Amino acid sequence: MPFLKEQMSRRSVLKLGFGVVASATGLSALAGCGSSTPGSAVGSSGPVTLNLMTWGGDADAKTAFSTIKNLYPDALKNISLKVTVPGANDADVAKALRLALSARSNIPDLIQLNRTQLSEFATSGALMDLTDFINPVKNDLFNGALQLATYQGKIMAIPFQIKSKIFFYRHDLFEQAGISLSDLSTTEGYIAAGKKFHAHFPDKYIINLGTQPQQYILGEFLSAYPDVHIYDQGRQSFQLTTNPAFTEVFTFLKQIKDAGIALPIDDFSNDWAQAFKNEKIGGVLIGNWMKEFLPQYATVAQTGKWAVSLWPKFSPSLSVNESLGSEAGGSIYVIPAGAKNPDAAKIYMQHYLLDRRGSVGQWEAVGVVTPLLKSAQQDVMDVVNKDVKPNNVSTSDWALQAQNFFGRSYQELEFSSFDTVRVFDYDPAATNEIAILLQALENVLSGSASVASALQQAQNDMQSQIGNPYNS
Amino acid sequence: MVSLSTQKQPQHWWTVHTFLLAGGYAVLIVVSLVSLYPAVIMLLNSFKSNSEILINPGGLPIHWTLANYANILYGSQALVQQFWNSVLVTVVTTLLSMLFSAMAAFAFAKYRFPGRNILFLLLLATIMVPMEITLPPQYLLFAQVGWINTYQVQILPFMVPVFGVFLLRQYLLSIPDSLLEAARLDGANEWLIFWRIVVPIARPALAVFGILQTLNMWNSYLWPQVMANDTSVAPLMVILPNLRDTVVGFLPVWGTIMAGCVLATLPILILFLTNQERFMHGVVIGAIRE
Amino acid sequence: MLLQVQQENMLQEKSRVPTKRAKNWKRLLTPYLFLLPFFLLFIVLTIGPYFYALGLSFFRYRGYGSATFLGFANYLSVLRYHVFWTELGNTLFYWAAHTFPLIVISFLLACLVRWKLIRGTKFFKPIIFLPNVFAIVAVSLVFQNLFATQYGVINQFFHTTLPWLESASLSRWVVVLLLIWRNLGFWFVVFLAGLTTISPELDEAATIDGATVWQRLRFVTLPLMRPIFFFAFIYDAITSMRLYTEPNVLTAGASLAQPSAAPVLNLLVTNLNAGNFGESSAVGWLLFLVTIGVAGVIFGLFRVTGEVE
Repeated sequence: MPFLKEQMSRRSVLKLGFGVVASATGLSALAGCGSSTPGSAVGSSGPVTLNLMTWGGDADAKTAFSTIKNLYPDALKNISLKVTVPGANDADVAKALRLALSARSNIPDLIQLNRTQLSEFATSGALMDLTDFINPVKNDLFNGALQLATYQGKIMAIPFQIKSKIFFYRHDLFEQAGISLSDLSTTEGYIAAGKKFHAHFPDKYIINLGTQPQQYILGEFLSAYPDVHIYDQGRQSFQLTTNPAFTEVFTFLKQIKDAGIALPIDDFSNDWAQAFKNEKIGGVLIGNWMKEFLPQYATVAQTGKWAVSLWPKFSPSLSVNESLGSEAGGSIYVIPAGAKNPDAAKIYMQHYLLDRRGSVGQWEAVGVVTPLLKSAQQDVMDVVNKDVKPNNVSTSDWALQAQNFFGRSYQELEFSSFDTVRVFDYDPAATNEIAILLQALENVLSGSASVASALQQAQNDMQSQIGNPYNS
Repeated sequence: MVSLSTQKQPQHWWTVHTFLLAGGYAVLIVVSLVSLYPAVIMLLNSFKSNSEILINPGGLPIHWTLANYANILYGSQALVQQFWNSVLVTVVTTLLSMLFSAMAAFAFAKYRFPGRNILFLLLLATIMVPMEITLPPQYLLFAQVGWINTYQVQILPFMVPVFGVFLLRQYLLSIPDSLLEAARLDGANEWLIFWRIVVPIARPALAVFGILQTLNMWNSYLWPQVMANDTSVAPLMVILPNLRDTVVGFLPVWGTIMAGCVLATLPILILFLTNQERFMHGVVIGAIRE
Repeated sequence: MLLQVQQENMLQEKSRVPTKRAKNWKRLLTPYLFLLPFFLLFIVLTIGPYFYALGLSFFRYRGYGSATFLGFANYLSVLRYHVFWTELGNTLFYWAAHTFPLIVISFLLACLVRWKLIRGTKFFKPIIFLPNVFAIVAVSLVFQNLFATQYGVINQFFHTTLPWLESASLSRWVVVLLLIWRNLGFWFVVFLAGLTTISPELDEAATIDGATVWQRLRFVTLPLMRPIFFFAFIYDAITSMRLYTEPNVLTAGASLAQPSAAPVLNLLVTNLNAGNFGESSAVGWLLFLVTIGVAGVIFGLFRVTGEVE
């Protein structure tokens, strides 16, 4: 690429220029006195600013950091945090990371990614291998957490938030309709229960499912199947039409839609939140992160009415145990190979997510991410059982915390769900593949295609759009 | 226009002519109303609260409120930064592109030099090629120098509008060479000739070009959305549609969005209302000259 | 005295010779200097990227790391991707469905206004032109508000509950409506200017010869307006291929439009955002081919129906 070379030589000139200036500054700083040079001190006593990239907002990241710094002031003595938020979702972070890698500048030290995005960057060699870093705590991590961090046998990430599958349901309405959880353990049972529920409450439904579901629904269902890949490297072909998993999942969702037991609106649509408030939805098959949104949508008025459990198994029609699996796996932190302050990044992560006190501390302060260490489980349960409102949390917010809204048993269930986590084996083209698969699902749910033809079409699209996802 | 045909008509005060005339006026009035109605709605809705719009989308506001404007000016959906981003990018690009296009047009119009035809053909050849082809490579180029999410990336790609060179060259061709020769004999150097003589004479064409370029830059959406969508540097056009994802109390903020639309429309509208004839005339000239 | 003058002249001659050479050199360089800023940027930002994009389209490159040579694989994958064809269909639909009504209606409006009995041209002209002045994004948002299913004015006025922007088929027509509404004034003004160039004597002569309004239109006005029509169709076609703002802002939220309503450029943008620079470039060059094709069709139509100027 002639232009790339031209640009590179220009950049090397720029770099040279900066190099001269920087060393001059450094020399003068040494010769003179006072002003410390920011940045590149590794393991030395110079102050370091960690560059952390995440999506959505920076408040949680900053709160977590100050919490850890208060807990371990000596270890984090010279480290301060700068948070960059390139956009509202993970795709924005991926785009910004690609940009930084392309420009070879402003490469962050810590980047939060979704597990689905790990493959793309891990296979391109852009990430630091963290096997040695994680090994000391390997046995303390929940199984699901370890799966999050591992890619093709190597540990390439630090597990951050496990997204396990949890079934939230209105136990009071279930009781009134005469439905028990065991009724739901087969597909036929679930559909029968759904009809019973709707018959008892004509304006309510046991679940919501529109024609444009969110993409996590695919991960949730598919991840329960052991050894399913969208692309089979051995046979060098996509598996949509050959592996029965895809057909089963699509058929199952279609059956739910056709049975009329689902409220025809989609997750995160405009009407979804209102539907909870108006008590139209009796249950959600979703991930554990819903504990953050459901109380807000349903409001305090429904405290104690919602219960949680693992997903129903849905077997034998789904040939696998659907209480296993996860959504997208979860989110992770990665350290790029070109990071400026990898050691400081590791120090922070060590005390933040891989430390018992740290992980409990951040959970108490921020509340979103449940600790992933088995040793921390009891500490968390102690806090939950003590049931004392912290001073910096308002009464209304406290009422919406998971343990208060759902009851103390929520936390125990969430921990046990971590062991049921199975991370789907995403390949480097995961984002594209999921988009194509989701389109196929939409076609099936809206009735414009049969399951078989939609999957065939999706397979053709993947074949032509992606080819071999491991060709990077 | 006394048509011979009226002599054949019977002597009624109403004629087919009158009906046709009334019909013609009716059509014009309908078209005018249709043209104006969305703008009127935009204005009216900007004075309604977000909840009122859901029940009263088309009529006068029941409760006039300035809350939306407060929101976009200094409230939670403030768009002032983006407004000034648009202004900055538009003004700088228009002025610079005016200068560069005028210089190039001058060279093409008033000089003979080897390669003139080839270079001109080069410009001509790019008309059919969609500019969007350059989006991926420009993204990579600007990424290399770290200029993504800056003002430069919004300005530079638009500093070389081919239509500008054509427009100005056409006009400059009409400047008599003798005028320039006289100036040369007086000892003026080429730059002075350009700056002091040609540019003032070319003012009408420059005004037309300025108006067209301003319109283009003010409306630019695709480019900044891809290259500069960080809220600190993004133009108003890119950030305004994102307000649709904002919900306050589970209500979409259409009133605020309408206020933002008014803000987005106002500058060009003022430009238009104060320069109507030149605006429309210029748009025509600019278009036909292509 | 004369000798002095002669001597002065000779001195001037002598001093003029080196100056003349210097001036010639400068004069040779001047046009290039004037061209320099424009062409420098033009090469770096337009011509260069054209070729860079062409080259990129034969590789798989994520913006960092290495680039893998793929040959025509990117083009094949785009051409086999059904979303490409859907979006191409959308683009062609938007073009075809709006161009003809737009140009016909604006032309007839211009004719109407030119009718001498109609007064108040100065009043109507800016009003009809006004939609073109409003920001595209702003009017798209207003239209989205107008055509909302639950609380839109259109549904309220006609007492319907048509899902204008929620149904894939209907939303495309709303985009067409928006395109016509916004561009009517532009072409109206253009045709008006064009009509004024037709000398009224021709019209009078035809009237005196007994031609009806219709015949006058068909045999006098239309042939004379032919170049302008040609320009109108070509220009509108070329800009229609690059359609992006209206469908995306009108039919979607903060994200991009669904493939059912999206134009081809959406594929270019989504590939770019996903880091598929090779495919993004391939889409761009395919769009160029489509533009050439469409322009060719218009050329052909005009040649078939008479002389092209």
